[in-house]
Amino acid sequence: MMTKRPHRAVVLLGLVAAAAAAACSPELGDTPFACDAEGTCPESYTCQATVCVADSANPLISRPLRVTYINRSEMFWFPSAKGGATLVVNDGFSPGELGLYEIHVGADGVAEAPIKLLDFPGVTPVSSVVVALDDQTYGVVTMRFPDELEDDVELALQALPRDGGKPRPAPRLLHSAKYPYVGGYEPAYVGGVLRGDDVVYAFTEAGTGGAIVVTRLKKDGTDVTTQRIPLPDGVLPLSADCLLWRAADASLMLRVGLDVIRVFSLDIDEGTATEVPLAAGTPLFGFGGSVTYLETSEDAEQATIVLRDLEGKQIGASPPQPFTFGLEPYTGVAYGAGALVAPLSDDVSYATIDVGYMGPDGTFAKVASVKRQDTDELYTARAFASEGKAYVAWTSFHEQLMDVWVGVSPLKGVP
Amino acid sequence: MIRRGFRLVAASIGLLAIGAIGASCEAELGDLPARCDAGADPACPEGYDCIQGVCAKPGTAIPATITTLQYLRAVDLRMVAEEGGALLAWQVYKYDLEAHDFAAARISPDGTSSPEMILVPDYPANANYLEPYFDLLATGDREVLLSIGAAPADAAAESRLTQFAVHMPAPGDEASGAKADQMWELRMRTLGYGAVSRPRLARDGERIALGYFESEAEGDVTRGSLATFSLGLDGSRADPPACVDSSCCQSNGCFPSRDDGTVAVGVVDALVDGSDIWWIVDDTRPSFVRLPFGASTPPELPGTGGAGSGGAGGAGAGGDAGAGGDAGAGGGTTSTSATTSASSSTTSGSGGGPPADPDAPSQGQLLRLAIPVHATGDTVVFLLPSPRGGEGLAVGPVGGNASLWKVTLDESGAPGEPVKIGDLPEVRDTPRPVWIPREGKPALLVTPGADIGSKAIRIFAVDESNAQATQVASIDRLAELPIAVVQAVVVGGKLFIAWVDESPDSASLRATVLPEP
Repeated sequence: MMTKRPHRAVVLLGLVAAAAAAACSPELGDTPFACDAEGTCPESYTCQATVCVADSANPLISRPLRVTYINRSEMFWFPSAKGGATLVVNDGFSPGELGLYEIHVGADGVAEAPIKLLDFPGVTPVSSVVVALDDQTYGVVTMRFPDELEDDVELALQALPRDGGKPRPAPRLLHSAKYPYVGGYEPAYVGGVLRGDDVVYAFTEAGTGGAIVVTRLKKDGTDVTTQRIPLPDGVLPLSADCLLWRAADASLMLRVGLDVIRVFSLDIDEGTATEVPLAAGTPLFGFGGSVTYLETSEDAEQATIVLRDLEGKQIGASPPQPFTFGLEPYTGVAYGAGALVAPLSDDVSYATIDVGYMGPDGTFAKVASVKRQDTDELYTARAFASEGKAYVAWTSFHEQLMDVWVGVSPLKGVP
Repeated sequence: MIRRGFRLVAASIGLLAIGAIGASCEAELGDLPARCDAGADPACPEGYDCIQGVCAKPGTAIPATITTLQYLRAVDLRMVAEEGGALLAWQVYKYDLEAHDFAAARISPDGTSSPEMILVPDYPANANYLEPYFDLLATGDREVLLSIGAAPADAAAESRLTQFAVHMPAPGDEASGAKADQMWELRMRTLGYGAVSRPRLARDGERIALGYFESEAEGDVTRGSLATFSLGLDGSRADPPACVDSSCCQSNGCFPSRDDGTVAVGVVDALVDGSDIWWIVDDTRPSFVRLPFGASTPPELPGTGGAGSGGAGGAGAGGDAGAGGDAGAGGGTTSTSATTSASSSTTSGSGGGPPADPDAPSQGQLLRLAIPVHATGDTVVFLLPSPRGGEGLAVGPVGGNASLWKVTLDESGAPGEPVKIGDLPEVRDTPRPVWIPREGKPALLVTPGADIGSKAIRIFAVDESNAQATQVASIDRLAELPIAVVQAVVVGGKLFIAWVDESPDSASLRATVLPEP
């Protein structure tokens, strides 16, 4: 619940309403008003992303943020020490509001007001990846283009407190590195995972023809190794988005690219990277010895989640799903031995967002489903599971802005 | 949008409150008590006129609100002179449809605006990519060229450069809409995401030129070049080379530039001086390339990139920071000076190649955040904004005088050291100030000054020879929201000014017209 000082218009409303209060009690419905910039709402209503929502409204779905845009890579789920889960998102475009936000989502789907974890001053989006260093601390790797008076791209690992603890300690800088800046509007995505006691992150340096850089650090930021991988043919330096996957057996795989995408198996102990032969579809998760792909039909109206070995031989597949052009599952999220994939749906309007589970043996099952309230064009979704619940975050286009929604569903039928 | 809803609620509450007390006392309504509908029912309280949709005391200068969007990048507002007034153009992002519109409204000399017109509808734009950039240029009474630089909207990697000819309806007939013909489209070399150049159009009489900055990576080299196109008045290409794909130079000229610097940048201005154009590349680390209209380079071999034989070698003065030390201001501010050298000379190049080409264009780097404003003969004049303070951010505070500088080319075409002309009043770099050179009169400088949320937009007359500046007009915005962008043109003895009031969830496009100072 936001506790903000009342807007003066609400005070006026109170005065006017007071005269009539004894005689009537209007039925305002679940979402009667926009709340003002300070989040003010009538009693029994909570400001959720600029809309006053009745506390009694459907608790399994919430819209905690309305922003200019959130990149599809910038949503990260974590279990919460106070129950439920926390979603961390990177608002990279809302004027004056750029930063990393933490949103606690209860097991009942109620989302608390976003807390700004890290401010990104200025107007240039910052790429980030968030891992849990321990129960109290996030490790956030950021890749930032220089401000106008600076000259270098900066990679940094910072430690931030989890779960909205107050007073909030200042972020601690654990590591930073600088690389030449060649221009561009925003950095390509940075990938990162926690592997044992190490934080591993990957990004692309665009100077000198471009190269992928994989950096391995101890949790305290101490350097361990840095590995450079030549960019594969067709992957352009500023489009070389990096995404790292860590499978249950601790094997690492790297996805790189935007339009042209390639996958590598990484052995960071040996410092080697082996490119996986090209296969049909968009890679969604790497299990070390196999890769899950989103394979769409030519007209993009159907999609199948497919697991293939590293030679491209199919191991398993989901039934075909309705799909729509422009939808971006982007990545699976590790769960147990497998990975959760969202958004899926049985109907093309995506009235529900279903969550699929793909196991490393090719077993596929739908394990959760959240009913949407909005009908806006869906962009991407990210699923997470903890203590029998599936948490789903999704973004949708609302006119020229973007909404962040969260929903909770029972988790059922994981193979 | 949500905030607009709340304002309506607040207004209703206000009317209720006024109604409740109306019988017993005279309410003091203030200067701007209510909105009104200037078209259908311009009802206002007694003693007030409906001016630009606001009830105001008669004679009050109220800027027009052209439209309110949810979001607009500063680069996506352009204003150009056209028949009898100004044309204000902007981009409408339709991420959900992945097809953006380019819209415009006419601003009349009396300050009123026409209904919105769509110049180019549904331009394909992948929602995963950077929004397209555009430029426009009026070429006839109702003819406009609109150039778009955009990321790919298909599976190909290269960026797009698309040229439209837009046929505008007659003034007063805007509801009938504009018609656009796509004249041509090319796929341009790019380093990838975000490496899309702003296109820039320039005109001298019947000659039209278009500039675009390409970037590419090859082997262990990351490089860039200025691509220039010669166009007809209808936007068609003049003398296109044989090359028709991005493996070679598709434009009339490809000029390697900005070696060892940032190359995923755009063309931000084109200063026309007779038969020459001083192309200004990038607004943060600006550089210039001087070329004649119709400049061309020899054909190159596919796959060689760059400009073939015309662009290798090159000496370059190397250049120490010239004026930098003088440019900064003390007093706790962050200086914009010293980090960028002035100089370089003919073409760029990494040495080891053939000797410098004597026909290669003059080019050079300017000081960080410098804003070139006027070019004449062998001299380019630039404005160095007030030094940034605080964290050195574009939207943060500034302090100290701005200043006016010039760089003159020597006989070989190499730029000399920057020379300071004199100090100017405080001028922010963001929003970028507008400079309007005038023949036989002082130039006009339009800026909010030091404060990004300044209620006033100020107009100075500036003598370029000594930087003497006199404030000659001021506009009361009636707002304190940050100003994202300012545009201005002089047409027919009137100064047309447009700007964007920006909040986290809205961008209001506003405009006003003054007699030319």
